[in-house]
Order: sequence, then C-alpha cells, then structure tokens
Amino acid sequence: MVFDYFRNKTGRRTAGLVFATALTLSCWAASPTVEKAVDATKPETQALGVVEAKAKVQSGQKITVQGKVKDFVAGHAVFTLADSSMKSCKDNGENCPTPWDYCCHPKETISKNSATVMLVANAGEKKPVKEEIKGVEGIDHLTAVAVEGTVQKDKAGNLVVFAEKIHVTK
Amino acid sequence: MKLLPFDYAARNAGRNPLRTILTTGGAAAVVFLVILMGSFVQTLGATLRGTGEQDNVIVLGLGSEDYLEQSEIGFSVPTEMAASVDSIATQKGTEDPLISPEIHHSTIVQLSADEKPDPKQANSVLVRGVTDKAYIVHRQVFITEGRAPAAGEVLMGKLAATKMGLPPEALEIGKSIYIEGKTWEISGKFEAPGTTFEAEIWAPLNDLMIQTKRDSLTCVIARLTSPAAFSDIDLFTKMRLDLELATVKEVDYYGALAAFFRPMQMLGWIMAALITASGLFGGLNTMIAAISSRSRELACLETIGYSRRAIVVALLQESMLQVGAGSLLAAGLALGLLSGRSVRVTMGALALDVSGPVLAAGFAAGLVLAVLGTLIPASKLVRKPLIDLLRS
Repeated sequence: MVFDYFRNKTGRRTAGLVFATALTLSCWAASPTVEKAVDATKPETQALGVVEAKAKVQSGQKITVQGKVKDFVAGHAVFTLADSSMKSCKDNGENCPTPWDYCCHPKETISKNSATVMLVANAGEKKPVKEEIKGVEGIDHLTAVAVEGTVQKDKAGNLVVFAEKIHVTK
Repeated sequence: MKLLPFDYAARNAGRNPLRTILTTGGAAAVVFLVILMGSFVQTLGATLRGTGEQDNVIVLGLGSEDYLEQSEIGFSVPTEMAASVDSIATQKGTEDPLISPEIHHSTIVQLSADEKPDPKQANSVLVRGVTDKAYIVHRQVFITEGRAPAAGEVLMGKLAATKMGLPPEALEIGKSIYIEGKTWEISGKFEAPGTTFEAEIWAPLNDLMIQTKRDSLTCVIARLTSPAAFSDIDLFTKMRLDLELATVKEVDYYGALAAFFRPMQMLGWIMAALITASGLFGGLNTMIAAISSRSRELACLETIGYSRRAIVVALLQESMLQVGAGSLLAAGLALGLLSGRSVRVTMGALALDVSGPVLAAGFAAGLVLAVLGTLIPASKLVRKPLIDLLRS
C-alpha cells in the first residue's frame, strides 16, 4: 500500500518535498558537537582571566579561562577571547560600530589581552570543529564566556585553548 | 487618426537651418555631457571593483582594514603564513606558495633631482614595492613593454603619467625618475585594464624598503586555492595574535573603497540629471519659440483635416529626428574623444570606458529632451481655439 502511494506522481512529489525539508533542517541546525559543548551553566572550577592565564599556565595544562568573545573565524568553531578587564570601545564611551574589535586600544594591548579559543571534537585534538559557533546559546561578540580545555602556549606568548566545554555566562 | 507624412517632418528640418543646427547642437551637447559624467561614474566604480580578485586575500596590520597604506606588518609574516597555511596556491610545477609581500608607498615623484615640485601641483603616486610573485598573484597585470624591474629600476603603469600630470612620452623606457632621494631607471611598462594598478609605479621590494627606510611590510597578498580557503588565513591570523594581523578579501577591500566613493558617484549622476534638466529648459525655450512661431502653419494643417493629435505626432517626429541626430553625433564624439582617455582622480587615474549602458543613458536623456521639449509647448498650443491660432 505504501509502495502504491509512491508510484503516483503526487506521492513522489510529497516524498521529495519531505526529504528536501528534512535535509534543509538538518543543515540549519548547529552540529551536535557544538551544541553539546556549549551550555549556559557556570563552570565548576575557578576560571582565570586571559592575562592571568597567559602568565601562569604551561602548554598541555587543563584550565578554565574566562573573558569576552572578540572575533569569530567564519566556518570554524573558533573565536578570540578578550580579558574582561579590557574595556570594549562601547564601554569606553565611544560611538564605535564594531566595539568588539577593541580598536580604541593600542594593538599591543589588544594582543596582550587576547587568547584564541578553538572548539575541538575530542580531547587532545588540535583541529577545530568546522562549524559556526556564533549564535549557539546566544554566543555573539562581547558575550561573557568561560572555556574549559587544554592550552597551548608558544614562545611569542600566544595562548590557544583547545576547548572541550564552553559556558555562556553572559 | 490620419497622420502627417513622415517626410513632412524630415523636410521641415531644412526650412530653418539655423534653428535645426541649434536644436541638434544643443541636444548633442546635453547627450555628450551625460555620457561624459556617466562614463566617469561607471569607470570609477568598475575600476575599484575590478582591482580585487576573488581568490586573493590581503593580510594587513590590525586596525588598518580601511586604509591599506597605514598598515605595517612584520617582515616574517610571509614565511610564517607559508609554513602554517596549506590552502595557499602554489606556483605551477613548484611548491612555492603564491604570497606577494608588498610595500605601498605614496610619494611625490620627480623627473630629476633638480626639479622643484610645486606642492600645489604635484601629485603623489603610489609606488608599490614588489617581488616577482606580485606578477603572478595580480593576474590582471601584464608587462607590455620592456621587462620587470631589477635593482634601481621601476616599472611604470600605463596611467602613471596621467597621475603625475605628465605626457606619456616623459616616462619612456630608458628614462629616469627621482623617488625618495634616488634616481630610478624605467625598465618597462605594464597594463592592468580596469584596475587601479595602472596608475602605480612598481619597484623591487628590497630597493624600496632601503630607500624609504622601512623595516616592515605594508601587507601580504596571497592567492588561495579557492575563495572558501579564506577562513584558513583568518584562522592563522586569529591564532598568531602576536603578529597583530587582520585579513580581508581583496574583493571586499576594493568593494569597500568603491562604497566609499559612492557619494561621489551619486554626485556624478546628479550632475548628469542637472545637465539634462538645464538642457531641457534651454531646449524648451527654443521649442516654445519655434512652435509658437509656427502656430498659423499648424492651424492650417488642422483646417485641411489633420487632427491636433496628428499635428503633435508630427512635431514629435520632427523633434526626434533633430535630437536623434544630435544624440548620434554626441555618441560618435564620445566614442572618439572620451573612450580610453585617462583622467586623474584622488586614488589614481582612470581610463574612461564609454560602455553600452552609458551610451544608453545618454540616448535616454536625449529621448526625454525630445519628448518633453515637444509635448510641453505643444500642449500650450493645442489648448488654443483654432480661430485664435489662424489669427496669430
């Protein structure tokens, strides 16, 4: 009986439409990796600021670091995290259309107060999830977050957090 | 409706040659000016948009995304990029990544050391310090005469002379120019149609760095394997925060520059509209006088059986013929005199392109001129009683 339904033109069209809708909806939804890793709870461990983390931690160490989301990388679950002590251009009272780029601060200050957060699918990986993270649990520019993960620090002082969990603290 | 024969309109053009010449000449002037403004506005936008390439990405200093010449990045950036990003295209048959380190330096260029440039007249020219990779990364650039510059030499863009306010023969191969306290010999010329490159001077990167006492690059331009690979470069700059870099697609950078010049383009179109309006008012004056002076003739036509609508159609035909001839004359003049003519602008120089849409805009202005220039005085005429027209 089911097969009879698909034999006629209307049935085939309906099935095609249902399949196309399901495919579109599955593409729209955030990937399970990103959705699973991001929540609105508070971190269980004490979170360090970006500047403090840069000064204290060593490569390979597991930490929780907090700050405000600065820039996103399109097509990847990656963003830069600014230390909460650094005021955005909006908080600085400037009428800036992109206050999250902290352009009202010297480049060196921005660099010193920033770290990179890269969401990975599994602990120990160093390749980011190739999905957008912007918008998941309301994550946007200047959203306050706490990130749990393993750090990598280089000689130039760059700090990358390979995140397994991201808490949106607002 | 019985229409007047078409040759009545055609023969009328010869009845008063001076009036015909004035109408045709006036229409030609209006259409020519509209084409001139239109080609300038259109070329400006097209040149800026045409400079950027889909596959190219500009890596520049953080905070200089809107003004490239202010950017400064470390000399090590090209090496770091090549080592970290896989999606940079490579030179055919090699593993050599297509990364072009560049210096963009705006300066006053003199013909000799003795020349004292007049600060009010002198125009700064963009001198681009490049390596051999630049000729592959910027695919629009072709060396048309001579060769790429060696140490102490420069390559002249086709419109560099226009930008400097000099005749092209002043910058022939083998001649010298004086930049930043050094004499440079011209080794060749290049063309890059429809881009801003043509108004530039290209010099070897190392020479320009020494001469301008710079220890940093302005930017790095990389060719990607595909436009989608942009995010890999963006990821690199977001991971190497110490390098203080920003990334922008070349098309987006020049697109933003085009958007910056949009008010100027709007102004150009407004000027074109004003020219059409002033031409229209001037034309109206002539047409009203011309039609009023022929009121008795037109009344006679009505008396022998032609309707007022048919008379208006005949007047329209007459006007279309004269304005059409003027429009064709203007289009011919524009193609002959304007097409390819170089014009100096703030960010370089442009070679005017009299394209089909611009010609169409000119013809449209002519059509408006012909239709309104006839209908407005004709409507005044058709409201009068026949007896009054015959007595006038």
